[in-house]
Amino acid sequence: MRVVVADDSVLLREGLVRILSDSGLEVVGVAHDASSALATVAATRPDLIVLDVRMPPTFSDEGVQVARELRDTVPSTAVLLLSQHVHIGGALELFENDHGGLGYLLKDRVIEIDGFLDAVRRVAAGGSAIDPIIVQALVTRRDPSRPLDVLTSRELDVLALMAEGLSNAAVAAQLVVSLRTVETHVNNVFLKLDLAPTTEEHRRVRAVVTYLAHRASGP
Amino acid sequence: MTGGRSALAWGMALLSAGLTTIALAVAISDRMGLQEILGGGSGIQALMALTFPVLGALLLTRMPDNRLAWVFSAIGVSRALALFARNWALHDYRGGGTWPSPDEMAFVALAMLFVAPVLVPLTLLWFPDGRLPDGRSRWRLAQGLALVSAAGLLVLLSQAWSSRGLSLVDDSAAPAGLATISLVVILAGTVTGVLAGLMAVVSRLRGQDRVVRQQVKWYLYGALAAFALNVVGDVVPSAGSLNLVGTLAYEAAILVAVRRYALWDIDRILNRTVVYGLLTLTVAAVYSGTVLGLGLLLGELRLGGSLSIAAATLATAVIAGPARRELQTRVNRRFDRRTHDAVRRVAAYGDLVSVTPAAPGELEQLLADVLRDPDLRLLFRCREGDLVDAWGRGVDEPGGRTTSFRTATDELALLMHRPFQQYEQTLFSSVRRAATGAVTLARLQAELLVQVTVVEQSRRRIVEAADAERRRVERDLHDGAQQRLVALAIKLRSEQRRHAPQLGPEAEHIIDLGVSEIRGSVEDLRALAAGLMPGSLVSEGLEPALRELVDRQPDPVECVQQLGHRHSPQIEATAWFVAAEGLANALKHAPGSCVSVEALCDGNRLQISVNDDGPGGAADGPGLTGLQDRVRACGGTLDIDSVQGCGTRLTAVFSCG
Repeated sequence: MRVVVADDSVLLREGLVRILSDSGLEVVGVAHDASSALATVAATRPDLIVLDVRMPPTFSDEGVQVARELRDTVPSTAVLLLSQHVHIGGALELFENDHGGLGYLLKDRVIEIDGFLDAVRRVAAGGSAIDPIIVQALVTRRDPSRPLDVLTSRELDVLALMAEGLSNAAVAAQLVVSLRTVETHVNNVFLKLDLAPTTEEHRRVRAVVTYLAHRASGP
Repeated sequence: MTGGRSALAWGMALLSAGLTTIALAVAISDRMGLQEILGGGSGIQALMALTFPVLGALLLTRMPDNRLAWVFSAIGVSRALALFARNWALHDYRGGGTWPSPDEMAFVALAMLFVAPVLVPLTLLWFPDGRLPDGRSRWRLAQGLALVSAAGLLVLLSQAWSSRGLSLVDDSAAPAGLATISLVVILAGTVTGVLAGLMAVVSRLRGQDRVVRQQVKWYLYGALAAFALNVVGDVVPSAGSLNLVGTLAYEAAILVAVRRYALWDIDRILNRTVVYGLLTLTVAAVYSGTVLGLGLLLGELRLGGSLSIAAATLATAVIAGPARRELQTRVNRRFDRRTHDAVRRVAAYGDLVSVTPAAPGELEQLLADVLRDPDLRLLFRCREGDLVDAWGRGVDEPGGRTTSFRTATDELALLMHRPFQQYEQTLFSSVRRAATGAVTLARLQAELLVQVTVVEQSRRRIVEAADAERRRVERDLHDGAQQRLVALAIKLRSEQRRHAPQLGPEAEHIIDLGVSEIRGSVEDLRALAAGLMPGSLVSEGLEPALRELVDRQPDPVECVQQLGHRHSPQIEATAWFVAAEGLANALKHAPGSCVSVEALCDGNRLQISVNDDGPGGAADGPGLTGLQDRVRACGGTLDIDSVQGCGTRLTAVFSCG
């Protein structure tokens, strides 16, 4: 798999390159800011870009803007955003309109190398990955108009793992239950939250994340 | 030589009055009837002889270069001479020849009778400043008519000398030949001159100062009335008294212009004359009343008993001072209403602001009002030397006409005003004097406002600097320490994997421990940085930053936001701090309670509040005081509503910029 790494911190960039190449992925280019990231992707057409959200020149959300542009211009390249912030901010709308191959992780998630590589492969394969801490924040958010109280605690766990982008099998493995049980929970969640059922994972993530994200900011 | 001219004019007035008095005395002693005196020409002669020279002298005292004054004096004196010579001649014809002979006096009477008609056009052409109106060549022609009339008069007199005698004072005797022609010339010159003069007065109605226009208007009324009534009076034989009425109307109109519109600025002299005249009358009345009263009481039948005189002198001395002040106020109220009212208003305002608070700009408005200058500006000089307006806002040094309010050493204020006319100088100086106290107070207020502005600005700068510093520290934490720690942990992990076969379980454990410590540190740093000033506040605004803040709370918090648009960085940061402080307080003092955050903006004002249903009773602590200062620094208000047992509501309101 061919990967581009874009991060303005040299230390982090090298660490990422090392992890990715150690696990047998081919790092075909690196970038240190928004414009070089776009140029490198255009030149190499990688399967995936690992993209820092906060980069020069303004250190605000250049990564999100690059991702938005790449989704339009090079949809074949999957995007995995890395952020220091728990706050997902403007990246949320990327998920709402997305067709897969998109991830958003906190940087310290990389430290758990296996989990990180899992997410990388999942996103590159057209799936989704959202950091559990972010999902947790979305789920614990309180909103009287769209309560999550209707879900059982097991169903809440399943909802969170779905939002992170895990497949039913992965959810089953995580919760140490059978695949059938997970499928039942998933169906219940969709039924209770009045969401259109779907089996495709990235569509499922999209539905769940959109639901969660819109809970507080209104319909 | 101003004094000399003025003395000459007053001398003429005195002469005129003296001649008139003698003439009237002679007429009365000769049993001339009142009807003859008033209707037959003596009345109008006496009136003009007594009033015109006084008018000329008054005018000359104020404006020594105004040649109109001499015209008035000359008309008056000529009338006095005419009256005197006529009555003298008539007396002599009745009583017998004394020197000078009645024939020559009759000739003088005839000559003097024609001086006024020759000069009258000039009183119109030269009004009010002694100069011709604009477009001088045209008016110079009219002015020349006076010379024609004067030449006609000389011819007439040369013809009349030979036939001097009683017939000259007898109206029925008509001159013949050349004399008739010259009479016609004089009359034609006078009538044409007066008509041209009236046109000159009308021409002055255009393009003048409002007050001058009023003066001219009243003068025009008087002149028209005098002209019309005199013409009718001369033409209709039985309507001779109309001439007198016309002259009275003319003088009344001048009096109106003098009193209401300060014509020739002689109202003050009139004012003083009236005050002292009344004072003299009062004092004389008191004196003679006391002498008479006491004389009767004490049986001193002859007047001038020493005791009565002493008592009368004492009484007069006692009332003189208060009487003068009282008369002055009353006469002022009558004669100079505008100054009187203006000073009273300004003085009343001065009294008012010494006991009640004044609004900035009030004094400026008042002065603009009483001085009738809508563009008037009152500026204050700060102790630092800067010029500010009533609200303490800095202004540039004015270029136009200014008048200064000062103490012995310092300039307090500058008044920028329109140019005041001569006749407005009393008003201006009186108002200025009356306003000094109020100006001093207003300047203190302006200085105070300057200080408040300075303090507000410095407070805002301090808060802005603190915010900038927080942002910088937050960025440093994110891009520096946090990045390095994450990079270090990744490095450890990747080395751990790479060398997994060689590492024993103990080394693996130590590396795991290290990595987990690093992760803990990263979490701590993230929380620390977010507490300083979240990065999303700058890049995405208040709404996401509040969302992030609420999401970070350990307990669920309800969050209602309706913001619509971005606010200034300072207001966003402060609003965020209010929410952060409120949430921290709720967590600390009302654990487990139902907490909500509201951020609402209606386009004009942003309101942010944090509510809990905890125990309430929150008191102002250093945290809330600091927050209050922050909120005030960006022009907002902070309100803490925390009744014991009823929860706490912290509300900040800002106006949208």
